[in-house]
Amino acid sequence: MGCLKLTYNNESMLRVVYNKMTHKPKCEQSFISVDPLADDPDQVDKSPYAFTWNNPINMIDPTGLKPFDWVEKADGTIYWDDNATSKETTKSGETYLGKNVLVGTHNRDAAGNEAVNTAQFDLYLESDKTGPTATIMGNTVPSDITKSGTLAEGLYSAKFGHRNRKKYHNELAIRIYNIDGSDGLPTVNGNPSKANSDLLTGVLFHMGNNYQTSLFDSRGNAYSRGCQTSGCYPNSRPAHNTFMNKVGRNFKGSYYLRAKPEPQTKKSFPITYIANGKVYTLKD
Amino acid sequence: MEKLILLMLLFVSCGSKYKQELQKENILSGTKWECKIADGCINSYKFNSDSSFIFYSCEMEDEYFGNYYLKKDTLFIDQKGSSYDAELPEESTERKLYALVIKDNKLKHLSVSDWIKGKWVKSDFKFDDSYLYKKVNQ
Repeated sequence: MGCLKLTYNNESMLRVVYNKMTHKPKCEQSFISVDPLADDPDQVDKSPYAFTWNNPINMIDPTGLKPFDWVEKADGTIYWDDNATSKETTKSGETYLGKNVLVGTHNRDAAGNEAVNTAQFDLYLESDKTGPTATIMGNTVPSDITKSGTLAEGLYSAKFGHRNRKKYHNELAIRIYNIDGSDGLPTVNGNPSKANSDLLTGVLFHMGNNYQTSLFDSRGNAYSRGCQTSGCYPNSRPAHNTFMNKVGRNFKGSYYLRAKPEPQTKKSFPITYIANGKVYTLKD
Repeated sequence: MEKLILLMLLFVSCGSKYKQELQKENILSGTKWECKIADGCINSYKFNSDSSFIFYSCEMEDEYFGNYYLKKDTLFIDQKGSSYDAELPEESTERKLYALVIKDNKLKHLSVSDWIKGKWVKSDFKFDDSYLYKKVNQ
């Protein structure tokens, strides 16, 4: 990392100065050697000298190679892996999530039902590798699972967005796509609202019911036809907006929908067992 | 002769019932009914003279449209969709039939049915009895 002190005078627009007192020099920071990962697929459109892809507010880059990514361990914990930058560089048994991830942990039962406000949404950002930066409770099922499709578990692409209709243009939401950027997301048991397709289109993470603890309004109209929603309870809007302000309007990353991680059973020692008629004891 | 009298009575009775229903419908025509859901959130029904209605849902921040009619003491609201649905293909819209009762100058929802594969299927959605729609002066 180097620092060039730059200023200007009447004779030339820009020149490097070292001991000139007439103008306060401006310090320009950048890496002074080319990034060895300049040819990395993620970086082909970036300057090989740029620090944190010119986005120091949202990204960190301690080695100057390229930003690192979030990974889910086998036990469900999510951590910032200093070595994982893609699915290929993620350790075996772990799930690569990406640089900025909204993780939805559903609470569906075997029939696909989920008690209202029992799903959890955690926000993991590149700018805060202690993560999660923010958490909110909500819902991963539609208002009526017999009428609308339920989004399947998996890793999706996601970015800040809103529903198409004009009245939603100011809404704070996240649009969810397939990893390749296409729409038409997989469902758990098909999509009852569509005769010819099992896929869900126009899926978002958006605000829940601001008036009742229900995914329906007072006349039975659905708040969700397959979307992911934040909390449904009286005056839930401020909590949603606070969460979405943490997400930020520049959010571009992943949405990872998963089941609740199974609690890891710890073996307690000593373990006594019988084999071939003999009693053995394992101390640790 | 007796048969003729009976037929005339039946005709008069049916006519009066029809008139009563028309009168009820006329009572609704041009009226607005409101229900406060929360501070700053009021739902409203507006009934027009051509049997159409507009429902404004403050909860969904949306307007719903359709037709209404009376059968005996029950008001039926055939909700064809919302302005949001109007932008969607027909298969994606949610048509609903509400049954309401008018009592003490208030509207109360009794039940709702969904239009599924060409027929009405009664929903098990439970209405909150505290949400009553009161007639307002316009």
